[in-house]
Amino acid sequence: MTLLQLTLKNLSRRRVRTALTIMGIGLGIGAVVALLGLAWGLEASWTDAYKVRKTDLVVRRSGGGLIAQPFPDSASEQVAQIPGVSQVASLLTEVLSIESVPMMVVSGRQWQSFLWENLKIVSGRLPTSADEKVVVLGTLAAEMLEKKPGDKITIEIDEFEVVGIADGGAVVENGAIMISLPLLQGVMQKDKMVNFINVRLDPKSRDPHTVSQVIQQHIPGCRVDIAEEVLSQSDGVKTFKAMNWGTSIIALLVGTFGVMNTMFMSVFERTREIGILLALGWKRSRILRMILLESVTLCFAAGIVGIIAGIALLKILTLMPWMQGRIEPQITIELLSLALGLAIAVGVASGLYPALHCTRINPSLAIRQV
Amino acid sequence: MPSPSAANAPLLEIDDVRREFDDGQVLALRGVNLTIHEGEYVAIMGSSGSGKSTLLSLLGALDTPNSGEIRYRGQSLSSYPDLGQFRAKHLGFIFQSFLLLPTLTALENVLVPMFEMPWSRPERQRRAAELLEAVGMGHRLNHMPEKLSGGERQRVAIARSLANEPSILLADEPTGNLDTQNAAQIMDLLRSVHHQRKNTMILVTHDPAIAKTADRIITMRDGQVVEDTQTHPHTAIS
Ligand SMILES: Nc1ncnc2c1ncn2[C@@H]1O[C@H](COP(=O)(O)OP(=O)(O)OP(=O)(O)O)[C@@H](O)[C@H]1O
Ligand SMILES: [Mg+2]
Repeated sequence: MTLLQLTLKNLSRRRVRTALTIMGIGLGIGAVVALLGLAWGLEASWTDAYKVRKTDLVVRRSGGGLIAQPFPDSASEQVAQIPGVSQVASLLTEVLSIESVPMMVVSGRQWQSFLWENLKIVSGRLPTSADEKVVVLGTLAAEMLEKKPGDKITIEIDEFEVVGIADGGAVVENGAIMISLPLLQGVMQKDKMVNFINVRLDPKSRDPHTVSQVIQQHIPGCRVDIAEEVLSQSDGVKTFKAMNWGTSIIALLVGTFGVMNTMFMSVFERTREIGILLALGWKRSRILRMILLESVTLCFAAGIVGIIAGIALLKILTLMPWMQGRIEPQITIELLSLALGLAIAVGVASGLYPALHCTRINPSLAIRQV
Repeated sequence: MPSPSAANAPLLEIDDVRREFDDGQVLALRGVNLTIHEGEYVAIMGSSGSGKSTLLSLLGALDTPNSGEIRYRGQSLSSYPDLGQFRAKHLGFIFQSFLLLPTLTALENVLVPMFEMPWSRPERQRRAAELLEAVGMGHRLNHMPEKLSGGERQRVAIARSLANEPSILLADEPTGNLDTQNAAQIMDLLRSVHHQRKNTMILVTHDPAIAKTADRIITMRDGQVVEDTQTHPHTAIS
């Protein structure tokens, strides 16, 4: 017989109570998995997008949220002049309601820029010129809109023809509508305006940080991010992540108090047994370890339940139309280890006080209790 | 008659021990002095509420006195850093209401005190099974306490009290919850344990017939020792 076996016996005594407690903290852990999976997925999806575009730096106007404010396209020529910059491509990105899909990324891309290079046509073709009134759909966008080459699509009040469907190599690319920049500028009545400049650096050039500082000095009011960091640097995502963490922490705190309550009930009703263990010579430190092991085991089980619940929730969310083509949830080893680590931390935090209470039990008085 | 046991070094010395409860409203022990020698079989008698159980708790380091001192082989119990360790090594308890752990089998109950001993798992299993065998419970190793009769439970409790080979056995009315026949069997068992293992036995009882089989009878009243008689000459253990 080991301490762990004893622990499992103790937990299985009140099966319903144990199960409900596991559900309580398990849902908390599930929320953490789902919320962080989303936040991390959001970042990773965009990082992927910049990777497939082979974009090193992203220039936009400082301030603003997820979708940046527009600025004159003339800035891109200035950026192109800066030493170390090899190629630039301007973008006007809009999130619009397209037909039955409420939020769809429409990506107006500078014609003949590298932004068209990563698009692998799976059916149809690319546009032949900047002013051909056509669009290319990402594979996911085509599914969501239920369109194939030859179909018509309405963006705001203008009608376009779908000429091709392309695999962009990243979920964010595949969830978007690709159109040439001047056409979208026309639709949006934002003539000569863009909101992003994607920059490729000379492979032999100075490091990206130095170049981005030079760009920032040359173009007042702009902000330059290393591509992998664009999203984690954006205020919108920072807020999103802070909210997710906040919600997670509240869920975990609620769960911690639930487990603590269960553990206190459990040790109160076992005062006499703990008195017996002390009488039989158990060291107080062993009693402490037993109670802590109980709460940690409880929370570990809840961690497993929470991971399963969290993954299930993410899978369901991925099926939601507003999620598709925007975020691919990240279910990584890091996330799962974090969830289990948090579960164990909750176990220690919630078991410590009840366990300390047990070490103060007077065995003689405890044994007298009936 | 001079006590023959006086030749032995004292095992337990109780020096003017007082124990009060409820902020001094209850004086459970009002100055108890006793010396118990190695290998003695002592019965403690006295009316209900006279302080017998309180004294036994103090002797067994389950409780601490408000004043006075208890010494084990000359060392004050208050100087032990961990009384749990002291109990595990030197003491075995037997209670009126058995106090087996309800979720554990007979065998597991006997294994519980062995957590504190440096024995291997198979060694523990072997010892526990042997002890249950010795108290006539070899056929009930994997029974839960609730499936055992009172007499059987007390046998398991006796096996458990012997788990770590204690030098002192403390029994608080071990037959109090048993019928006459079972009580007699349990007392026979306890006496044979005492004779075989030569450990010191301190037994609280209401039954004069049981007390008479002890080497020494201590009578308590109102939290004090009022009589201390040697009934059998106690032979020194060298
Ligand atoms: N925890 C406690 N709180 C308050 N009073 C107590 C406590 N423990 C014991 N007492 C009181 O101390 C006195 C001695 O109690 P104790 O249990 O030692 O008596 P006893 O001789 O064992 O009696 P019995 O033969 O009925 O078991 C009693 O008056 C009892 O009510
Ligand atoms: Mg009593």
